[in-house]
Amino acid sequence: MADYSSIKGNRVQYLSTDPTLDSNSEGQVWYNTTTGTLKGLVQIKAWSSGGNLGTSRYDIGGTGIQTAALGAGGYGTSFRNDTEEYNGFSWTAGGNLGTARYGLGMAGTQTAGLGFGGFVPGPPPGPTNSTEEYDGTSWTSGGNLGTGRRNIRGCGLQTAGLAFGGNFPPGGPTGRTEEYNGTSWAEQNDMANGREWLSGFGIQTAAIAAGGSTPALSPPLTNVVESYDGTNWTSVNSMNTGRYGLAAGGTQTLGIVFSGSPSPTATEEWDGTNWITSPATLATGRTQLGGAGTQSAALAFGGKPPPSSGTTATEEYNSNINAITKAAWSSGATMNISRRAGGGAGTQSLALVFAGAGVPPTKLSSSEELSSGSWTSGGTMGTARYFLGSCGTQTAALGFAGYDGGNKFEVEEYNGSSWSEVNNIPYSVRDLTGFGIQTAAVSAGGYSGTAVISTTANYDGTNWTSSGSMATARSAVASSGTQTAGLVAGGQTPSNTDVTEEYDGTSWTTGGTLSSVRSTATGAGIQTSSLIFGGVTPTSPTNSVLTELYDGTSWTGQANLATARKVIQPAGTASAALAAGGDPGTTTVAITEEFTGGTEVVTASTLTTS
Amino acid sequence: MALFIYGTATNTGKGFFTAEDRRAFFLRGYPANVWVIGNNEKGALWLAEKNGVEKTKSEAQTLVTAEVDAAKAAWDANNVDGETAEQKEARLGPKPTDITLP
Repeated sequence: MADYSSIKGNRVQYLSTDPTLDSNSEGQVWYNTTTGTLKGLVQIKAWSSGGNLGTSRYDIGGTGIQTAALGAGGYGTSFRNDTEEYNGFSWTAGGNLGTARYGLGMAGTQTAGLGFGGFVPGPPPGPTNSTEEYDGTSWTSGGNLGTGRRNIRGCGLQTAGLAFGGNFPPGGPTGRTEEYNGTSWAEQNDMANGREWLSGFGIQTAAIAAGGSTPALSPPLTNVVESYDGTNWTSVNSMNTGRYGLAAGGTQTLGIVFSGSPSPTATEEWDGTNWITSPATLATGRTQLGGAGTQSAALAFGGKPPPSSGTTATEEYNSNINAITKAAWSSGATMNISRRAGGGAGTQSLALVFAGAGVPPTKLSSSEELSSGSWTSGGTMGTARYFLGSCGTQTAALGFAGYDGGNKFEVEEYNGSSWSEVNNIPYSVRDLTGFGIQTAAVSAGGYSGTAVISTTANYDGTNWTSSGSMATARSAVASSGTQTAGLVAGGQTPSNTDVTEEYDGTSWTTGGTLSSVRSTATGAGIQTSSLIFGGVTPTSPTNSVLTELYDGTSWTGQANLATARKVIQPAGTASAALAAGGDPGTTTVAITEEFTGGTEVVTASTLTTS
Repeated sequence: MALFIYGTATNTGKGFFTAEDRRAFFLRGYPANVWVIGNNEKGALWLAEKNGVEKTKSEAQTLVTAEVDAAKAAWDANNVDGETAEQKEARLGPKPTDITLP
């Protein structure tokens, strides 16, 4: 058997333990003398399924990154004007294009996007020079392209965009290139190879145009690649596989192309000089799809998987030394009693729920404990109620205030077996929120019976004292954290809000804004790693499955609940949360769901040595 | 190809759907034990493994609507003498609203 050095000319390191597994070790090979194995750290390249588009369509425009992508227009039973935004887990509706179209080009980001050209229904139907700018909410008119065309591609930013290629009948496939400055397009030097249904990536001054279709070729597809420097296009190495209707992402020196006809599952990576076929292939082969992202984290969505007329399928490409496992909700043990608007405490595996409203709609005083995967009865509270504040652990919980037909101010402590009444909170209130622990808790907001309030009070295990008020008075608010590092998000003011506030023990400051306004949602975690889920949103007026994660600065979308509901009892952390019961719209339920946060784990591979 | 499979299945709690299931196909629960499932091999297999009963979209919508209508009627009929509308909503939650399956 040949040894490694005779093949590669290098000796393999002998190490008693694996080296630190990080990007510095990428591509390294070593012999682990302890385990007797030859090991290496290689990039894992794979396509995995993402959340489906809301609308099946092809020739859809795409831009952005894998965790914040934008898809607009396209064709699916009719010309589409709808826009969808991807958060790494699911697509949500954005503002509609002013002009429905397919085969458009796009550039920019999810919150500052650019859409241009394409084919419009008319009358008369034909290519358009219309440009629209997206601000994360709605599209407004921009400057018109000099040459209207369909199946055009682009890259760059909303204020520094690049458009190239496309088809303008009867001229046919073109190499025409235009630059956008945020206001108007200016014609530049053409590509040498006119083509449509091509792919493009990069920025205005450093772009790549790859592949495409031109009837002048036989077959009518090409593997030609040209590179743009802000002035001229020059030919560079061709793709390994000629194709049209492909999508792309990345930069002029680190790019990726994927799908297209006749290789609908194939992926190639561009290193600035050469194309390397990736071992990863798409699960759903397709052409005329939307694309976004980078070489290491790309996104494919929509398109036409032969012989169908369109798909909603979304796939994510990752090239990384980390094995990525995405977050997800799974079903948990069903409670013995259906319950909503009650209290919650503890962890995902050692939880406590108490009080609330049951079925038929009655106030509850009972509690249940989750342990070893099943729920059993806990102690009974002295005062049955719902819409109360709660916090703590399974063996040291706190329930306070609430509603039983009238607002309450009673406070009770749980010791793991029984509840005992302690000093009242100084004001009666319902629909408030609570966070912290039994000996250091916070009550925030709520409804006094006549108005939503901003009142905050701290509990020290014996007494309640007034603290700084929230800037925004609200009820039905989600919360998380500790008495000295707390968080509230959303709620009713009385209209639904997306405002987040952070608490330091004495005062509140504004935090990052939720991506969706909502109330009656539930929170779990700490101030710098907090999860909010369920509730009511304007786009889901009954109930919501939406889940968002806060990192101390901003909220990002996460995997959604399976069953939409509000006033869920919470427990756990942002990486291991529990959604217990709640109201899905028709009746109170006893179902639970468990959230498992996403992980990225770097793992050394054991190499075959014979 | 249709985007979704529609069916009924009883949520049996832990393990009814796993994190792997959620990563492999779309899954959304609705009243009347109706589930909307991504139409792929794993989604179809999941419904079969859960002893689910496949429905047409129309059949599934009928089940959901019937459940919502029953909940609306129950909400309308559940009254307490002297209770204000606000108090009723606080006690029962908002009146159920129509649900349209995707």
